[in-house]
Amino acid sequence: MTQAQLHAHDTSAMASPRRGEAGTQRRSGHIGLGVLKSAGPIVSLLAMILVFASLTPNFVSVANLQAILESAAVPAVVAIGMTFVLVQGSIDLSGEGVASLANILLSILIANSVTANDLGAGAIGVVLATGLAIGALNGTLYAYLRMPSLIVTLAMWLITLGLAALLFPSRQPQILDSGFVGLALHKHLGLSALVYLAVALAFVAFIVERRTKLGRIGFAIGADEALVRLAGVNVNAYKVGAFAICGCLTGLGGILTAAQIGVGNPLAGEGLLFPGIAACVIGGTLLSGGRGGVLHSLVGVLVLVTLRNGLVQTGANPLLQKAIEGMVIVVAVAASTWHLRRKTRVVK
Amino acid sequence: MTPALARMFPSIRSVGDLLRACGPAIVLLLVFATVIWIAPGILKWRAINALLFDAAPLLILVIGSTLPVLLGCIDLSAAAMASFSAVVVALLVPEFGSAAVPLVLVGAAGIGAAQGWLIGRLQIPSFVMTLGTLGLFSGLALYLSNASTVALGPEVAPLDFLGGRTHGVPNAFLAVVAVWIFLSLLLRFTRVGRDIYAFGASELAAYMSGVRRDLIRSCAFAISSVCAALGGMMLLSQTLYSAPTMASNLLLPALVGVVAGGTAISGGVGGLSASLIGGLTAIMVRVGATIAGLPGAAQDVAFGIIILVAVAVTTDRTKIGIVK
Repeated sequence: MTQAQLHAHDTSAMASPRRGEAGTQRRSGHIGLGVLKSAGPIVSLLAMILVFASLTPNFVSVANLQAILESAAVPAVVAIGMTFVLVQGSIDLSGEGVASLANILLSILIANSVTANDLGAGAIGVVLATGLAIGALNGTLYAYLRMPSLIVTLAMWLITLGLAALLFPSRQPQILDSGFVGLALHKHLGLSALVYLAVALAFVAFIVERRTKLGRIGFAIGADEALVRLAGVNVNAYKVGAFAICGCLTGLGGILTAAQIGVGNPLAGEGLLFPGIAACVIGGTLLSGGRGGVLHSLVGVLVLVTLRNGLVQTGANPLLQKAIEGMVIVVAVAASTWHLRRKTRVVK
Repeated sequence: MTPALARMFPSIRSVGDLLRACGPAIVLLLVFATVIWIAPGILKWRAINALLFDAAPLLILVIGSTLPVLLGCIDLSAAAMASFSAVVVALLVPEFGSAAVPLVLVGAAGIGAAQGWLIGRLQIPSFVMTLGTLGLFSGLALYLSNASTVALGPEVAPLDFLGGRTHGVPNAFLAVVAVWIFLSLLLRFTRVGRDIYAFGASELAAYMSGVRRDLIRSCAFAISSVCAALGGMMLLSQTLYSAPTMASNLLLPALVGVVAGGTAISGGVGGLSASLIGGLTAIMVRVGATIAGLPGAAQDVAFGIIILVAVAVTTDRTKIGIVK
C-alpha cells in the first residue's frame, strides 16, 4: 500500500466536512459526548473567561469586552483567509509580508503626507487586488509547479517583506484620508467599523465554505486529495482559489492595520502569522486538512486574544506572556483534538 | 552512464535525475561564482576564514533542523532554543564554571526529546508543538535574563575553544564539520538513522514494520535541540554576552538552508550534505548581496526568488505523491 492509500484507509470513515462529529458519535455512542468533544474550543474559551473574571472583576466590564473584540478584528480577518488554505492541508506563511506590503502600499496610494497620490477608495481596491494576485501566484507556484506550499509561501514572505521595505518612502507616510482612519476611530455601539466588517466577513466566508463548490471541495481536497483528483475535479484551480482568498484577506488585514495605526509601517504585519495559524489550530482546524472551518478559527482567535487581554488584566509578568501563550497553544490544541486520537493516526 | 556508476547511484537514471541531484551544488557554485565576480577579494584566506567563523552558528542550526524535516516534521523552536540556551549558560557560568556548557547541552537534549515524545503522545502536529515551544523558550529567555543582556564570565574553557582557532581554522567551523560527519554516519549506518528515513518516507508503513515512532521522533528532535544549543554557544563565544533574542533572526535562514539543499519538507528525501550545501548557499546569497551593496530589503527579495528557483529546479517530484 502506498502512503496515500494507507491515509485514505485511515480516514475513509469520515468523508464529509462534518465527519468529525459523526465519527465520534458513532464510536462513543453518546450524542451528548460527541457534541461536548467537538465543542472543546468553545468550552476552553468560556473556562478562560470564567477564570479571568474571577481573578479581576474588571475583566468582564463592557469596556474590556469591547477592547477584546477590537483587538480580535484584524487577526480574525487574517485567520478566516488562512482557514481556506488550511482545510486543504496546505499552509500559507506569507501573511506577515503580504499584510506589511498591503499596509505600505495603501498608505502611499491614499491621501498621505509624503506622496501626492490620492486614490481614495480606489487605493483599497488596488491593494486588495495586489493581495489577491500574490495569493494566486502562491497557489499557482504550489499547485502547478508542485512545490510544497510551505516553501513557496516562505519565499513569498521574504519577497513581500522586502518589497514593503523597498516601497517605504524616505519619511513615514501619515494617512490623511479622514474617512479611512475613521473606520477605526468612529464607534457605533462602542465598536468600530472594523469589528462589524470582520463579523460580516465571517458570515460571508461561512456561506462560501458551506454552500459553494470552492468551500466544499476545499474540505474534500484536505480529506483525500487523490480521491478528489480521481473524481475528475480540477484540484489545482481550487487550490489557487483558496490561496487567492487567503492573499486577499491578508491584504485586507494589512489595510485594517493601516486604519488602526494611521501610518504606513513596513513591519505592520509583524506578529500576524504565527498567532493566526495558532488561532486556526486551537479552534480545531487541522493542519493536515479536511476538518475545521471559519467558525472554528474565529473561536481560536477569541481564545488567543482573550488570553492576551486576560494576562495583562491580571498583571502577569509581561516577559512571561509569550511563554504562557506557547503553553496554552500546545495544551489547547491537544485538548481540542484529543477525540481524534488513534494508534495509526499520522501527525506530522 | 556506465553500469558501475549506475550501480553506485541507483536513483540516478537519466540526465534529468543527474541535474536534479547536483542542482543544489550547481546553485551554490553559481552563487559563489557571482560573489567572486562582484568581489574577488572573497577568495583571500582571511575573508574565507572570517566567513566560516561567522557562518558556523547558522550552519549548525541548518544541520540540526534537517533531522525533523527528514521525518516530515518541522522544528520551529530551534532558533529560540539557541537564544534560550545561550542565556542559561551565561546565567549558570558564575555558579558552575565550564560545566555549565555540557549541562545545558544535556538539558537541551532532554527538552528536545520531550518535545518529540509529546508530539506523538499528544498527537499534535510538530508545527504546533514547536510553535508553542518557540513561544515558551523565547518567553523564558526574556524572563530569566530580565530582557537584557547577560555578560559572560571570564575563562569558560569550552566557549574559549569555540571562539578560538586551530591552525588558523575557526574551531566553531571544525565543530560543525565534526557534527556533520558524526550525524551523517549515524543516519547512514545505524538503525536509528535508517528508521528516520523510513519514518519520513511513510510513517504508517514504518510503524507497522516495528519502527518505534516515539523513540525515533524523540531522537530527531533531541538532536535538533542539541545542535540549536550548540549554535547558541557559538554565538555566545563570538559576542561574549547573551541576549534573549540573539538567535531569533536565524529561524528563517535555517529553514531556507534545509530546503534550498533539496531536502523535501514532506520527509524521507535529502540529507545532511544537502543541508550543508543549502546552508552555505543561504550564507553566500547574504554575503554577495551585502558586498554588492544591495539594501537589506532588496536582499530579502533576491533571497526569496532564489529559494523559489532553487526548490523548483531541485525538488525530486517522483518520490512525492501529493504535495501539500
